[in-house]
Amino acid sequence: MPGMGRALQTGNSLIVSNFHSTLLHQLLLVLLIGALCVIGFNVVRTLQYRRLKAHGQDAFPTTPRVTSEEPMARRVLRIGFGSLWILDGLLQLQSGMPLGLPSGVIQPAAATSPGWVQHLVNSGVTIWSDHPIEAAAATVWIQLGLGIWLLVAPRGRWSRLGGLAGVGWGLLVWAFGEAFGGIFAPGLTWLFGAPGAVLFYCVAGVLIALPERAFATPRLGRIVLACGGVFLIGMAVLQAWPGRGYWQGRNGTLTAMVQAMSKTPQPGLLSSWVSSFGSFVGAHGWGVNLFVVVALAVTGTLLLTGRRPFTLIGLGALALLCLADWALVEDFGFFGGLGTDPNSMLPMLLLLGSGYVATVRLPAEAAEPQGAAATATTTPGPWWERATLSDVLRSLAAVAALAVVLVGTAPMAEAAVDRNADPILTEALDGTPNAIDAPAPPFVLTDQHGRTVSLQSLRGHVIALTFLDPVCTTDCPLIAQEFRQADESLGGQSHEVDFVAVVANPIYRAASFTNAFDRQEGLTGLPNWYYLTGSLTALRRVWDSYGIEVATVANGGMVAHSDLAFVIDGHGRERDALIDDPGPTQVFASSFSALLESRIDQALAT
Amino acid sequence: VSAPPEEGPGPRHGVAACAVALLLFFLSLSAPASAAPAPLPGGTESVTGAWAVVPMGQLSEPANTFWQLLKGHPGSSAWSVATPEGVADNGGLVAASSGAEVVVGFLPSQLLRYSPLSVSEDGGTTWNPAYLPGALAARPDVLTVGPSGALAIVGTTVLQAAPSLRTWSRLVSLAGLRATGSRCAPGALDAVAFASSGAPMVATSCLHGGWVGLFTHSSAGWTPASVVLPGRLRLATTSVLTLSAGAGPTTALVVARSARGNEVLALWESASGAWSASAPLPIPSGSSLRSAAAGSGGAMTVLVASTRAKSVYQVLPGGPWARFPSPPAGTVAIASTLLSSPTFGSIAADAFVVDGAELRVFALTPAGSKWVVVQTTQVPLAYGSSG
Repeated sequence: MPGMGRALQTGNSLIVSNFHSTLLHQLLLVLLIGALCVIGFNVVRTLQYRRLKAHGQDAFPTTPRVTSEEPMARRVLRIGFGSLWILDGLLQLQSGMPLGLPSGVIQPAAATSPGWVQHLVNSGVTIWSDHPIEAAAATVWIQLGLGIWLLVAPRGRWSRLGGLAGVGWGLLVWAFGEAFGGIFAPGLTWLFGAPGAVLFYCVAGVLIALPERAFATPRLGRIVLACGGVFLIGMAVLQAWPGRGYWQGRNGTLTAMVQAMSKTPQPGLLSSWVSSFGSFVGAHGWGVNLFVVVALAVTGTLLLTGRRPFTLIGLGALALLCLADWALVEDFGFFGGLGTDPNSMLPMLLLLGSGYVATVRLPAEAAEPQGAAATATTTPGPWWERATLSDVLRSLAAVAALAVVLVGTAPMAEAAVDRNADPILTEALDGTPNAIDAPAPPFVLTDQHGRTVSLQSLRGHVIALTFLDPVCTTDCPLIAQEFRQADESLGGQSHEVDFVAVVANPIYRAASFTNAFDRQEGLTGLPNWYYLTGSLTALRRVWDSYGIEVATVANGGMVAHSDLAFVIDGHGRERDALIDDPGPTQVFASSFSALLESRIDQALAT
Repeated sequence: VSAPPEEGPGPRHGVAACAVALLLFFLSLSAPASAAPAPLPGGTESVTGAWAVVPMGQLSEPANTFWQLLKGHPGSSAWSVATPEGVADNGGLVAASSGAEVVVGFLPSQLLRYSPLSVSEDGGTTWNPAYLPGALAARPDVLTVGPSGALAIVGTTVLQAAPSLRTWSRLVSLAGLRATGSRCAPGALDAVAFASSGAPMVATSCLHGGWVGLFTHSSAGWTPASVVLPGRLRLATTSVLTLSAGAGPTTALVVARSARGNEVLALWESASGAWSASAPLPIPSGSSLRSAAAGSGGAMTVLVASTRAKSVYQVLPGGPWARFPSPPAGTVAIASTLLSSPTFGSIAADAFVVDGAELRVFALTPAGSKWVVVQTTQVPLAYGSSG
């Protein structure tokens, strides 16, 4: 029956098993990439060995090439954020991600944002919802790949490119996944992660992408700390702003937020911590907010001073504040089955910590290359013959990491341009189509143009048959659009297929209503579209023969009818019976059409 | 004496203006989107009976709000559900009656973008479908029926149909009414009715202040009524909320918008064709008109509500607005029952209180001092059936 609200649960076994299966297939691809890298390594080393032999040497030089060290601040950023990307990628492995992320994470994050933000976020949600398995698997590999990339490529262009790749992906996640960190929403607060964890990842990516000479003086570190100071003071002002509900205790914004957070799925101990803190805020809301405002303002001011002792004190205080907030307000961010990252506190501390390191640990001057290695680096020849063991390993590892990113990106890009949603959604919701091989029940009805149409008159064509209410407000227009989309997807084969709907309303069944429905849904010009009606007796006979239940609903309800579609081959035999209920939301639009198209293709082949 | 030269805005002013513009821009981005207009519940009464349209169910969720057509039984405050079947009515209903004939229009909702009709020739006992080529707007009197057929407002066009309602044709468009040269400057089509003479009438909003857009059709074409609002409303723009004729004088309920705020006033047409107006009833800031009911004899009853309080007012031709006792909590609509309850005199009205699927009808006591519950009905609703 239309609109009876069957929802697809996040743990749907078909979706979860396909998610795992896709990940396994892609893992095999990743292993293959690893094997190719090993082969590439051997090829390069063999070429190098032959060159050495040609120069009269029997072995690789043992003296390591001495160059300048990677700046410590950059290393902190690279390793820290590389590890965070890997953690985020592993969190994406959770089985609830394919179906749960849009409704459980992304849309709630955008719920209080203005309409244009929600519109933008929903465009991303649509792509994810249409292709949940490809999207979830892509996110796993992209984030794992980014993390590995940052970890294995410490220097040079590959490393800087890794930083830029992190910025690109981070901005996508910030806009489409975090609704810009809620900066356009009215309740913006540092306590709940504003301006979004991934924005810190992006800033870190920009710093990693800078030339290493930017880390040669304390200037960059001072800029990072000063920006952090301004940010914290701004957040303090926002926290102190009257009328935003943060000065209230019970019924205040902060209490409501903390209590809501305590109710999210998480370990019991953590839930009780957060809930207790929520009660504490309820009782002492004004004091808690005053403490937060003062703490943010003071730490921000200390960072702004630019003087090392003050900065160190400020960072220490901020670390304590962040850890307390992370545990008591943000509930660590990654529990409950849909956590995507450890939230904003860790990346912020990591970023500001690297800023401090950049002011106190400057890179040493480059040492002159010596001995055989010096000879090797100055001898002309292709790079793979001149590169050291370390260079070869890291370059190949970076290439492998990029390939891992592409393992996720390529299928997602293909899915994003596919107008049809993944047919597995329909199968997950409505079950696998029932294969049939029986004569289709005959019918003789009248089409929207007043012509008599029967099963016999359509013989020779494959028929996609369904039952639609011309004054339906929900499912029927969606089903009609899915039929139309399946028709378009068939391309040149569509002239061998007829799309037929039979009226499923015992009252509103006149041709004026079927024509109005056709105009409403843009079906009027389709030459192979038939919307059939007839006397109530004739309609009831067809409904009964196809097992369609139709019943009026009193007091303002929509006529209830079975959402079933049939594929009938050119010999008049039923091949498939499909449930075409579009489900409680429109995310399944076009998923059914892809499934229907595949079944029509099979019927055409018989 | 010469005036000092005017100074330009200067760079600081420019920066400040940019900052203010930026702030306004972000404030506009953060502003919540305005909700779609909801139909106005209410009732109509004729010599043969009374009808009311009332929302029921989970009123905060449009998909679980089911509108009911209630039929009032003459001589009592008893109401029965007469909602026609076959179409989901979550978008709202509009109803019009003439004698025993009743026409109901289903307003578009969700993916349904046109308005099916349902017609009863026997006072709501049996219903038949009828087709209207277009979508009705969410206003109470966009549909009317009379002995000569029916009128309906679809977008910027008024359609007319013969009594069978089988075919509809264009009667007049908004542009056609503008072309009459009316000083009202019609802005939108608001309501339709058949005058007691059977002539089609169309009401429009007016873009020029102080005028009310009422047009009557005759063999000579469309004639604008010369209705000018009194003194302090002469700059107010107007729209016509309801337009009714048949049981008594032709009556219009007009909303006037001016710098002073919104005010409503009733207009009555006398037998000579002259129009008279009631005193304006101010709608307090933060309040809105939630229900309007036209009664026989030209009575007009309105429910004005804010988030904290609700008030019911009634006006009769030539009389002042009378304020009734505060209606019961949960009142969603009111109906005038002047003919139905003659013992109540000139202050008879019913209030409909909805709590999910429960409908309670309250009537004013004969003295008009308080509301008493006279009927409680459970209306089975198919929650979740509309998505």
